[in-house]
Amino acid sequence: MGGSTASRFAPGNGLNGPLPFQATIGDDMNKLFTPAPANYHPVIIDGETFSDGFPLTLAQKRIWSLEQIGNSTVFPLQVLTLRWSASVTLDQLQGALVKLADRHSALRTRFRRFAGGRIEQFALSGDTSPVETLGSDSNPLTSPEADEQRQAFVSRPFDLLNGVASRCQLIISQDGLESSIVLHPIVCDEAALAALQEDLVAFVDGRSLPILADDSLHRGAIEETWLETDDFASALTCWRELIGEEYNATVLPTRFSTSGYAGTRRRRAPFQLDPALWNDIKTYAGQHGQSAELLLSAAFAILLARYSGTYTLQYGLLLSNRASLEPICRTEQILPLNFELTSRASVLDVCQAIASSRTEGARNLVPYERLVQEMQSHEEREQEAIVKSLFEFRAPCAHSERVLHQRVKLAPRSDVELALIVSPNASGGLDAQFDYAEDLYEPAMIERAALHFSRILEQAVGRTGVRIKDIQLIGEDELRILSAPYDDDGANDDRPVHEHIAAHAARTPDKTAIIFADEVWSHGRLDQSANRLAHRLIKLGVGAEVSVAIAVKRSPEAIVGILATLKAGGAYIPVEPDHPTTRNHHILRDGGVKVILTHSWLLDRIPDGLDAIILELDRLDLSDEQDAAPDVRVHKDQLAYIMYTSGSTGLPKGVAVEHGPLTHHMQNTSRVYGMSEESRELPFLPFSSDGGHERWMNPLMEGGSIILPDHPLWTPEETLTVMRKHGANNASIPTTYLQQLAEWADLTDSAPPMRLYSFGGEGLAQQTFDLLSTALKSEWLINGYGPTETIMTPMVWKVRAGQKFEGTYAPIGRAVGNRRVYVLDPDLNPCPIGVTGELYIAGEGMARGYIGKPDTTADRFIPDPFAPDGGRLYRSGDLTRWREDGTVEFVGRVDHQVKLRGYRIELGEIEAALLQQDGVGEALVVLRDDEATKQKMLVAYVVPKQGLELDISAIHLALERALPAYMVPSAIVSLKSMPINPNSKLDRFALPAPTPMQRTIIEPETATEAEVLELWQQILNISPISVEDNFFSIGGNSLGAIRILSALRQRKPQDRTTIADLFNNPTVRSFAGIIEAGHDQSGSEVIVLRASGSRPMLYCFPGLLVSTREYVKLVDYLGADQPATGFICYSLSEQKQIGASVDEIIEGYVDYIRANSKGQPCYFLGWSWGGLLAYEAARRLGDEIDLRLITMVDVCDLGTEFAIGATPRFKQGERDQLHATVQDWLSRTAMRAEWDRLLGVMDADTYDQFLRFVGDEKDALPTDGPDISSREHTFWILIDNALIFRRHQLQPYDVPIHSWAADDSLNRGLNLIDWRRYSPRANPAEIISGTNHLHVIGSQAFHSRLAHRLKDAL
Amino acid sequence: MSAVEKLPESWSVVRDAEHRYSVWPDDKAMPVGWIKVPYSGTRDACLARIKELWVDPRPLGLRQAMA
Repeated sequence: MGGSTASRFAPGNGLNGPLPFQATIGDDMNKLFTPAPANYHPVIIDGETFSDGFPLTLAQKRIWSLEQIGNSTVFPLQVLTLRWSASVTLDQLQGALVKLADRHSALRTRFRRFAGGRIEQFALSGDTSPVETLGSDSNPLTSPEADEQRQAFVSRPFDLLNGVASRCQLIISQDGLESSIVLHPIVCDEAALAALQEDLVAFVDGRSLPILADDSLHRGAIEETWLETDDFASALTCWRELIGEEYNATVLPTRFSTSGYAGTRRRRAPFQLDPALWNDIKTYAGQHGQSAELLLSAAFAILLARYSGTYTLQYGLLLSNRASLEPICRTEQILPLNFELTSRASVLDVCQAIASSRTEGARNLVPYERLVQEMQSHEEREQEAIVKSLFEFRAPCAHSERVLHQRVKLAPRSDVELALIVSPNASGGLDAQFDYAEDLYEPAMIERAALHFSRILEQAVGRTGVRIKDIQLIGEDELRILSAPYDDDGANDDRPVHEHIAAHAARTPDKTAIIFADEVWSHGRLDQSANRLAHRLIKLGVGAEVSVAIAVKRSPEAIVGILATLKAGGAYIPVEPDHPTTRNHHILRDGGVKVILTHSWLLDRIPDGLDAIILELDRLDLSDEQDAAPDVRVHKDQLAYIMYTSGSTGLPKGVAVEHGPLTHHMQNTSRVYGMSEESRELPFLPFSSDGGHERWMNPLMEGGSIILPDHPLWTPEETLTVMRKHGANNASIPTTYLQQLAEWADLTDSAPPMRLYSFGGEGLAQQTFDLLSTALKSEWLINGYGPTETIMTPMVWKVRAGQKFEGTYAPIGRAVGNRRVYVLDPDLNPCPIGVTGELYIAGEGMARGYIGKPDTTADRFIPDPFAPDGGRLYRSGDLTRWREDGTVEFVGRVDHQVKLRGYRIELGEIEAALLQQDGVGEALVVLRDDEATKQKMLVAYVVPKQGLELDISAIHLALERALPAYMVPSAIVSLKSMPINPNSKLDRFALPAPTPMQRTIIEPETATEAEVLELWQQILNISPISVEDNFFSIGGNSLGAIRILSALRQRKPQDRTTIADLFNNPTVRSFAGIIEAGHDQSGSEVIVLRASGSRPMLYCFPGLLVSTREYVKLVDYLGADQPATGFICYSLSEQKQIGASVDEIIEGYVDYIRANSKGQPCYFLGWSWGGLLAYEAARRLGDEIDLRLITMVDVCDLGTEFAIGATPRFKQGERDQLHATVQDWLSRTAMRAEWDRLLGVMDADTYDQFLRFVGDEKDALPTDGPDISSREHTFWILIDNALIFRRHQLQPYDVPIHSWAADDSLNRGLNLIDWRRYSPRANPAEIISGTNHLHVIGSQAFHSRLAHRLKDAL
Repeated sequence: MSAVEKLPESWSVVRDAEHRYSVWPDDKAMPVGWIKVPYSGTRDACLARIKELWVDPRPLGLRQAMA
């Protein structure tokens, strides 16, 4: 946006920009509402002359705007309450207050509003601050009375247009004499308040003070002038370089479920630091030549770094920006800091970094309101705040013996997401307070951050040279609780798994062990078969540390083979015969396999050239072997199995697991899962995953049984039937398949009663979990998690059905058995709850390491610094965080995080969102930056569920709703299946580049179609165009539409089609049809944005030059059920007449609404000046419609220049000169006729206002009309509208109104309308941050809140 | 995450009682149960050294039991 430095006549940037038309509107709109800064002209109203008035500073304008929209919480009232010693008398105090008001004009500052809304401040010399005195020495108030009176006094709002911006109260109570001074924040900030106290004390003491040059009222004008200088421009350049376009404001971790949008609710968390610590801080700071304040600031920076995990910090510091002898006024500034640290930085390094960043920033200090405006200038995308976290150190007030007690309230400004204020208190310690947006931050997290802030300080001053990474935020006790496994009192024995299973064969030999299709294997048969094979294996040389490949499909024989291998003392390696030969070859070779167990029909799948004995189980005669178990003793450290896992790069790695950890894991798991000899489990997990083995071993170890699926592709129906038929009570099923099962069970109500389902393998969304909960009718659900390296399922989340969780995925719970889990940062420091870190698993339950890879083993299995008696930690590569209850939540893969435009993006989160869309079976998101895409962009690949078709645009729309804008992929590509390389791994290189949609060009059939097509091609400068192409999707916009219409009018003077016709019929074919038929009957100003839907119609009223195209994103967001109609701005419609009134303009809208919604419920939306139209239409329609709500979006009142009664002031001779300029210009302009019409309706006063307006403009009057995109045309529209709205007076009307304001409009001090002045059912406006007047209508933050309000009003 | 580039320069090869090897940063207190093997350098250099040193993957207890 141009801001006040750009030309008032500046047109939009033509057809090239994304939103050219809107840019024009916004530019001029903002300028019209913002009085031209450099030329300031006091005004006379109603003949009454005021004393000189002064413009407001930007900071003051913002506060004024907030006050306007009824928001008094962002800047609280400034209150100074002092209790005086007995030596001070009432007279002394009263006298001192008079002197104080005399010295500081802030106490006497008044405000006035001119017709049209411009605000000035002024002060009268004789004025004082009103003083209210309560009680007397003879009749003092009681303490409660005094409290009550003071409370009422300090919280009462000001009416700034009536009286001065301060007031005083003196109370004589049983406690003595007390004074309270209350100032409006528009004239005073915290630091000024402290100065005010010093001056008051001095006057009470009878001291005289040095003379003060009070320039507080001039600061607005000084600022305006400075903003025009090169100094300002170069300061701004420094900020642009420092912050850049792709900044990332540092924050504490936000709640899991927000998309980052802060509502207005604030919450505070006060805490204290004791005097001993504060003394230590001061001492330490002194010893190292630092200020104590800087040390506190460093502690905040460290807190941000440790909590956010990022060491490139961008946050704000509140500068008091006050010199020693300054008048009372608002000087404080938010100073953005941006610097880079590493965790190796010492606390003193951090102090240094802050100090230099602060010095540099202070050198280039610009008003924060303006900085935000300049930085948030992107048209296309929603912008994040520059500062989201703010630190403020509030200096203590000077001590005086006269003052016994001072009531200090740490009332912070609350316009950032989170602020921490620290200030020394009377008891010698520090008062501190977090003030934060409740929607964003978990109160419990803030409480912990407060505790950790203290801990950082304690450790920082504990010894010299402490580095960020040395600071321990988590205490030992807390860590013990967080890392603890599931409660499990049972004792483990050391017998290996196969001996546990064999024991049941001895006790209950006939009991069923395995059901496999028609086969039923008893425990006895299983054990004897395994024993016989074990004897053979031993003869073949199998023993400790010798491996045997199990190359058979999932079957009882496979289990026999595994048990036989274990009984022989060997280690088994499952090999999936179906997997690619190259992969299997690698496994058999790498694993040093001695014997391969297989079936004769799978022989061709076994690679040639191996030095291994192949046993075909179906041809093996074991009749000579003994039934009894071989006498083999197994050492606890001996290998039990080797499981090959796909490495992220290259060939699979063999993970070697020993007997001791395995049997203990199995016994612990049995107890957590509640397994018994009654257990009958359906283990659906494949044998190529270690989880698949856990789930058959477990029931057999307990003397229970398993139902082994005879092929891997059972339909959900088959599976449920088998479970029912065989009386399964447990099932372990991969998450994706379980989802299908649940869908089927839900549909057919066919879920058998079950005790437990366990699942895992991927992230589980709440929606899926809910489905499992309701459809499967299971007593327990277990979400299992675990890398192969930590043995099967080292972590589980065991819950009753129906459990709710926040976050993207279901929690992965706690450790099982003799393990602990830690969430650690890269320095191996435990992360606080809610802070993302990498998951580490410790304890006995982990693998020996990787076969043949000692270096990889040493890399992933590291020393455990938390174990009291030695041990290792396994680094999982998964990002997680501890939840409030100490369970762990999965966040994503460490290597799955990418950075795009400064945002850290977790690809898994986008994939999870894709998987929640209808029909999506698989999803993959990649950050592409290659030849095909030309730039970095997120591309999503989706595979539909079997037999389904995907609606890509619907998915895209859904993602826009579910994710922040920067996470929405630029393209979504539908694939039949994901490309796989020979290792069964995803082949990323084979992913196709997103291609633009192939268009079919349909040629015109009629002469009119051909003519329209030619016009489109000419004006949009695109070729070829198909007659079925949508005007807007090929780059058409409002401006293009108007040009097409005017070109059409030139060719066919009789044609009556309107812009609405084009919008409602946006293809060449349909538009040509309308031309032939004569124009559409729906009316020339009405655009049907969405025709159908069961909810009440939403009527959208236009701002200046709004064509309704602007509402498309909003209507998309509101969804298919929300019908919407838009009205085109009057200036763009065909019937416009010069000098129409608001009443005349709404006529057409009112008729249309009456005809279509009479007696029906409906909503109105008014954006910008459209709010006035919506309000007036509502008033006119009255009870004829059932109006549920008017939503007002950044609705401003008219600017000053054309307000009725505003008489402009000219310098000597200036008026005549301007008149001559205008006349000369009129003689040259091609729009002479239009201007004459416009000037013709102006009376003498209005013409003077017009001259003033022209005179305030720096650029020459434009003569590039009458083209619709010209500066002159825009200027004409602007003046035309100013004339329309100047005569309009708002009348009270009782109607429900909800309003919003764009943050940027507050920064600009636009005259936003407080609708509460007109309707008792209006609310104070909510602020939408990160957007401006122009873009607010497309802002997702606004959409979500609008949707919410419409729903409430239903 | 650029965790690796933020790691300190100096690491040591360490070994536990079962003669399992790993690496540990020199600026962090040694974990209980581990001792330094006299070799230090970058993390990668230490891992390369372990490739040479750790020839028998079996824990010491098992090696002795099988001997």
